[in-house]
Amino acid sequence: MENFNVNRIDKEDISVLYISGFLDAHTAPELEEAIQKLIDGQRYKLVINFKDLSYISSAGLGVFMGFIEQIREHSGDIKMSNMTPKIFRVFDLLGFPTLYDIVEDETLAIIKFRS
Amino acid sequence: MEDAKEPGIVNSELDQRHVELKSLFETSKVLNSSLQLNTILNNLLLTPMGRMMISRGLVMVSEDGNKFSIRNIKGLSRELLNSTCDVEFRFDKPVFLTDVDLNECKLKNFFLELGIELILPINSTSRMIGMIALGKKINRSRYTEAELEFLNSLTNLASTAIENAIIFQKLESVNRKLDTKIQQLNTIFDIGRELNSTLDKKKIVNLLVYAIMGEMAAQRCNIFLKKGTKLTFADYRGGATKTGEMAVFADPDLLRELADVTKPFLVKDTILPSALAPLRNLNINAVVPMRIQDKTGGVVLLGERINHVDYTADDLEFLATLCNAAAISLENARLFDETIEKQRMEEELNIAREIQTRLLPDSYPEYDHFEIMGYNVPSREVGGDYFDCIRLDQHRFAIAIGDVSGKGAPASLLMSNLHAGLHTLIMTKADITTILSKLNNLIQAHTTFDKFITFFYAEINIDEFTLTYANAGHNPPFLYRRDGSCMSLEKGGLLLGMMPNLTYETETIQLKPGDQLLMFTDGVTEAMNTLEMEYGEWRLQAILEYALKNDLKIQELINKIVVEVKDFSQGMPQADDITMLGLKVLN
Repeated sequence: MENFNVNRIDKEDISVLYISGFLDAHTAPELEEAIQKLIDGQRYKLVINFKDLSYISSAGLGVFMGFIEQIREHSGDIKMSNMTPKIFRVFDLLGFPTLYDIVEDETLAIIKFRS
Repeated sequence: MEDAKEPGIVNSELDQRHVELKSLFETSKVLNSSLQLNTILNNLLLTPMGRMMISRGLVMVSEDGNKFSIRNIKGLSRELLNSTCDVEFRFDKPVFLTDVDLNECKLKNFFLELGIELILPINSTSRMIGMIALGKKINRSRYTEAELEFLNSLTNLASTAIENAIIFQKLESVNRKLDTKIQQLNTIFDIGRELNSTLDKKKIVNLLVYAIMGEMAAQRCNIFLKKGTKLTFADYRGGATKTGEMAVFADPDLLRELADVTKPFLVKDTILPSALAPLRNLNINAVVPMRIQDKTGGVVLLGERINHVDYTADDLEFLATLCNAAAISLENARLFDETIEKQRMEEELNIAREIQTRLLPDSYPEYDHFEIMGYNVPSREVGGDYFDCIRLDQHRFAIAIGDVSGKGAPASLLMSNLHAGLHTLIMTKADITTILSKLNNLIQAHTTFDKFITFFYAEINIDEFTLTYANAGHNPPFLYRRDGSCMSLEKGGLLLGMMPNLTYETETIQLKPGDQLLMFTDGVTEAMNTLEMEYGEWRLQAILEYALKNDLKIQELINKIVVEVKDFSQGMPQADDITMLGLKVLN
């Protein structure tokens, strides 16, 4: 089984999740749990840093869909950054860029929250 | 990153198709590699949600074909998880809720309220095992034919995996139950071994308490044990014993009801008799009797388990087995104590027997013209029969026989009193009348009215060949004369110990060579056979006649009587002490 990891760094009211490895149906619950924890702590401003993610499946994308409404209801958002072209292609193919802020760099994502 | 969206790289039909196939491939790989229902359902929901940008969805699964429960949920309140309902609606392809008749699908409104738009069946070869419900796509576009086809393929792929996972889950639960049973059996085995290796009551109770509390994680445990016929509070573990509780546990009505418990039961599932009602307030959840040979030897009260889970029927069965094993152990310990106690008493009685035997003569004065022989076998370890033969002076000796009312240890105490009294009086050189009167007063003064002694006393003058006697209510001894006549020696008075200040008659008989005197207690004449017939005086007289004719030695006579009485009683246990004293006058 491929490894998947989530690390979290809080920057004031914004939480950055660094995800690495394989994100598929097997590892999706780990990410779900990490996001659920943030929501339980009423932290609704999320940046997902994809820098070290080597693979994402449709199921992995599904995780973001499962939380987005609830987060936006609380004036929060999920912003995504640092995707490799391979990962971005998957998001792009399925039309995610029309719904999510996908930016080149984590700092940019944080700036977007601030503005 | 807008520049990544260049024509030729994205939006190509081929790429779409590629991702779709890859997704199906990955899904099928994941589905078939997992037996965990949740992983499968995660995949089943997250894949279309990710692919088609759907923000909410749920999966319902049915294990029996009727009750469907929500087993996975995304983008909706988690409180819905595991809620269950009956679903009669059956369908075999993706259906939009707007196209469904409310009468057909009662869940329609429930789904619409959750923002569900599309439901898909998960059908196995034999039945519908579940359904997926998906919300609107976030970009509000309608599901395309291709997407519906993809979803259909996905559910088809999932159905076998889900079915397997359900079976696997059931197996796991059965396995778990089996493991629990094995664990409990091991505990019973372990405890059984421990219980069998100890006869210490305190240790047995300790073992029981720890086994129960360890295995069941019970917060508290009270043990009551039977003492005599009543239950009493024996031990307590867990929490603090409050004074109010101890009062409840001492209530005789409660203890009586508990003593009648024959089967383990749960307090919450049982209509309690009013005497047991206080158990509810004491946080007692289960009552388990300690049964031994169809009797309740004790009761264990169990508090709530630490994990707040109810005791199951299996648990109660386990507890009952454990408690019964402990009950047997406690009974063994009790029997062991009893045996020890009995052994101690037997030892004491043996010592008493030895003392008593020493009170009876073990040798007889030797005279040229008199043969004397005594015989005594008590029916128990010690007895109340007495006989004696005492040299008075160079011309005279005394013979005596007595029978104390009752048997065993009490009678033996009085018998030793009689022995001491007689020997003391003889030393005062008192005459026969005085001896019997004083003995009577002595016995009467120190016993209750229902204790008395039949007693025969005689003195023989070896120079004059005379026998002077007095009989205090004893079976008259037989004096067989050489000429074939027989005398009953009856002169005397009342039994010793009945009333004070009595006088006793005496009679003097001139003895002749060949005369035989047999003194005996009623243990001889009242010996029973299996037909409940008594040996009787006539049989005794017949032997005496025979002895006279055949000129038997006194020892031979006594032995013959012993053998005949034994033959007569045909193995019936000896009911009373048997004592004889014989005297033969020689040429």
